[in-house]
Amino acid sequence: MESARDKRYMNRKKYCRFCKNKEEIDYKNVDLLARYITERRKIVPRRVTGVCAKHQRILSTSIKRARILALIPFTVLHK
Amino acid sequence: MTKTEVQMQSYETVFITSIDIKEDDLNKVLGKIKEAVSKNEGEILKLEKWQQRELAYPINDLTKGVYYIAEYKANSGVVSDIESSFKFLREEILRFLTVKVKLAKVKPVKPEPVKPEPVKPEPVKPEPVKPEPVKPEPVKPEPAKTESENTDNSAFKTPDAKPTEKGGES
Repeated sequence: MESARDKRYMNRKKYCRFCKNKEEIDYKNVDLLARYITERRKIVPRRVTGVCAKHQRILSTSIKRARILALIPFTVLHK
Repeated sequence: MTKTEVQMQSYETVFITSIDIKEDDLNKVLGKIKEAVSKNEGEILKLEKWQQRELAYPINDLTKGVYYIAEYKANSGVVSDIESSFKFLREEILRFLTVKVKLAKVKPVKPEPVKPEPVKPEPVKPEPVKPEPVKPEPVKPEPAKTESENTDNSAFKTPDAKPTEKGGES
């Protein structure tokens, strides 16, 4: 039983995919940014996604830029 | 020259227009960008339609828009010039955003591959050395030519000698 519990709580170690794959974050890349937004269009914290601090900073600014250009909604409550 | 290049920054402006914008109005907007860039001694790298898409939220009661991208390289005054001119075109432009593009990061990368290139010529230099042994080869034919010349001379001489011999005989 204990071993089953351990397995249940064992998580794969998170890594920053931008560091690993050397993907560039661009505010025009809507498909990429959409992955880091919640259902309520909030920015997902990096403790959830595993993104490193440097790339989280870039990510958040580019999400905010995309919001200004109406590529991504600010909230669900528009209209 | 290098100082002016350092001061020059490259920028990217994205702006949204309504779908049914008239050509004259669009040309007016594009003209403003070209004007501002040429005023600040810059050059336009890219000026094109990006895409037409549904806006994530309505702007001025419009749900669709056409996105345009302009990339340019000029002195820092451009941004304020373009943005101030855009503010007078509120009917044509729904939104705009200007961002500094880091071409400076790309530039140092380019010189790096250039550096290996001067290194490559060094192994190429041995190749010109190889032709040097080749040069002696053309030199060798030259003595061969001289030999042939000599032979020719001898050949000429012999006919000369022969007639004399013949003459002597006759």
